[in-house]
Amino acid sequence: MTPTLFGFLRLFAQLGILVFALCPSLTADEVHLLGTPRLEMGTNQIVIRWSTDQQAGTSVLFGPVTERPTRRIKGKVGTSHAVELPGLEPGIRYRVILGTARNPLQTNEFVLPSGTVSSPTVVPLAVIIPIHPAATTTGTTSNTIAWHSDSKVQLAKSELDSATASVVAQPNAPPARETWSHPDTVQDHFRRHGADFHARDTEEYAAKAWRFRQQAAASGFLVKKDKKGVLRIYDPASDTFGAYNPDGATRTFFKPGKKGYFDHQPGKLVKLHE
Amino acid sequence: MNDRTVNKLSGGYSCQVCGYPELQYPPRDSDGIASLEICPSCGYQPGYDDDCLGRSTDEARALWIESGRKWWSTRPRPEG
Ligand SMILES: [Zn+2]
Repeated sequence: MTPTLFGFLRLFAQLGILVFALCPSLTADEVHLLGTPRLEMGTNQIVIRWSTDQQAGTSVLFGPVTERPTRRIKGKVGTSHAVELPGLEPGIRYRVILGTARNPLQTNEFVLPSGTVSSPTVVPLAVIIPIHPAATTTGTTSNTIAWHSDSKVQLAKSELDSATASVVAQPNAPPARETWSHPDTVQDHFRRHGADFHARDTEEYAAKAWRFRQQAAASGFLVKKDKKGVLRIYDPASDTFGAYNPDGATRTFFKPGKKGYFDHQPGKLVKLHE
Repeated sequence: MNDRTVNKLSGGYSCQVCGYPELQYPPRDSDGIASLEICPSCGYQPGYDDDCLGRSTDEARALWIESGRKWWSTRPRPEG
């Protein structure tokens, strides 16, 4: 694949990605995504892959964003999930909802580039925009689909403002007093940066920072380690930055909003092990 | 360690904006690496205010003084 084509695909993957329905009733079985789902483009097939924190079924519903998605593919029970999406055409914006057999976990949008794919390419579907879950009342509205007999998902409007995108953060996190460096300071960081992540309180903010660290390896985030062992982690897709002490405690967590910020961070690029 | 910011009395490090003497880390170490620690007194965060917002310590100090040198954090202000 040419660099231009890859850039094109990345752009659409970043801009067009949607939704996760954050609903206590839908997440009551505590199955959570681990890391970031990935779209793998081979020379003649498209596969979406994701991981969950516990054994769960595999289910995908997809179709063009101009229609209600109707094509469903189910897979095996496990923690690593992979589904081939057949019959996709370049230039068309698709919506894909992935989840367990019982509940949807995340919705993304993507557009395949035109032209020939000459080598396999992986696109992380890193940024999502949370939406409200479907109401649990009976009946189905025009933008609501049934996922399971007792769970529904509400489809978001296509092409939502990427500025409101936030990082998917779902594994259960320890309390802030256990994850934050100098725990009494977390409220200061929340006050300055909590809004970047739509965090409602210090606990939610600290939990998102902790999850960001946990997801770093699987999601392929950029990581630098300085001479003192401090890790600086950056996800370009969501413009999210976190700094972590050698013991893993969070120092800070924010969206830099400044192009090239991570390039100027100290330390050497390292690869984290999952 | 950046000796310029070590406070001999408190044992902490001094904020380069407001002079608060009990920071946990030097705002910038000898290699110029920012601590990313938020000063509870003035709210300045080296590595964010300067590197992301382009707000220098001089500018931040002027603003802090202009706003009446108010204690920034919701944490209680230490006595003294
Ligand atoms: Zn200060």
